[in-house]
Amino acid sequence: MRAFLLIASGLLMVPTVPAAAHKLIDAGETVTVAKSDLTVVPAIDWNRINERPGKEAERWTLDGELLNDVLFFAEVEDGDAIFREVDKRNSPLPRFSGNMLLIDLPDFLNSSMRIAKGHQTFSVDSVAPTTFLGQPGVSVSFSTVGNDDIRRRGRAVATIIDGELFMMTFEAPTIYFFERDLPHFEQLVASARLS
Amino acid sequence: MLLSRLFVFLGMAALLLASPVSAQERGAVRHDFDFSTLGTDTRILVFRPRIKVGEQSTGGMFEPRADWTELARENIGSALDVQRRRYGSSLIDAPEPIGEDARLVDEYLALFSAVSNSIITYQFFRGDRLETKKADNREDVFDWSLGPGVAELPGADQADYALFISTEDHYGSTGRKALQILAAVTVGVGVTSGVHSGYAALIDLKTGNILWINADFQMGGDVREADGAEKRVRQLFEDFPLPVTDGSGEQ
Repeated sequence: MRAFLLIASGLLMVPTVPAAAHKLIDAGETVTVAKSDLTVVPAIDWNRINERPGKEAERWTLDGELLNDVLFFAEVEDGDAIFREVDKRNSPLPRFSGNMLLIDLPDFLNSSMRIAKGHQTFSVDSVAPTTFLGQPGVSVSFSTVGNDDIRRRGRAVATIIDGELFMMTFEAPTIYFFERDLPHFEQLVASARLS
Repeated sequence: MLLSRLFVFLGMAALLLASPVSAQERGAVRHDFDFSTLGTDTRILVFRPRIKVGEQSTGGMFEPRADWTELARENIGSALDVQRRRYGSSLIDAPEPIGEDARLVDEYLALFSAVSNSIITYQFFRGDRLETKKADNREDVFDWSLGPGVAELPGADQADYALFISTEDHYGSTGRKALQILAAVTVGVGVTSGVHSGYAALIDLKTGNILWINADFQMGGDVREADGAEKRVRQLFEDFPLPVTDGSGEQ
């Protein structure tokens, strides 16, 4: 009986009806993201998904996360995972380490995304140096195949400041959505500042 | 004492789950699409439906069943023949794709499923609407697309529109059904057993815009049986905007 109650309460924890509505992010306004000092100024209206994907994370979308998924991770500290655990016992998420170098981030992103999003495949297509938040950073282009059989492409920009990770990612289906929405993501990245 | 409190909590949560906010729409037409442009000379390319059938484990995981999928494929194929007769020569079979074309068709059907899923979740479902989609609803805008790349689909140069169909059925395993009954009887918790999603849409083959869609996560009809598949396909074709040409006068 006790085991059954545990299962039943577990099922109830899966929200079929969200506790609160998703929030409109108005174009042209400076917005603080991921409960941090990171701000962006979107050029178009976005939706912030109510459920946070991680403790120091935030998700924005235009049409739903399956079609255009923007993630913000900010002030991720040593020992933190960037997503919420999915199956901690069998597939624990990797932890960010304050000792990581920029060159370590593509692998960290790979294993984090693969576990949290349940991708069938994740491949890093290219890694290039960039400037993010006025600091030396890294830009990662990647490709994935989801458990819905859809091929997607993605872009991530990241930097490490005083041992804390700041990263923005974008992922969308290769067909149509990636090319259509990448400029909107790049605009968000270009507007990103630390307040 | 603790147990009785837990029961109260579970009961309240069950009530919340069953609240009217789950009411939702099932169909839409693109705001700038004019039905009257569809006639007997309209050519609609019908792609082989994307069909997934399997079992839902006690924990809710999907386990594909090849035998059920094959049955559903045959049954839905026969049910589609009925619709073809109703709508006459306007519905034409897409050429059987091979090689790269087959991959492209599969990818578009998978994308169509994801777009349909997003339409249900974020525009139809009142409790979960995205704010930008609420704004669209206020202005009577329905604007979803698969993009102009649909023009590259095999046979697209011979037709005006494409008809995409996708169904996915997860039949509750014995364990899942037992959990459903036990949960209902003991703590009044609504555990769903099974997923029966179905999406059908008319796509503009030049722009990729979805002109008409019928989509629901809980459709009727057991696709493993001929009658059930016919019911499912009838449901998928509800409010299909093409005039019936079989002389029955039905719409």
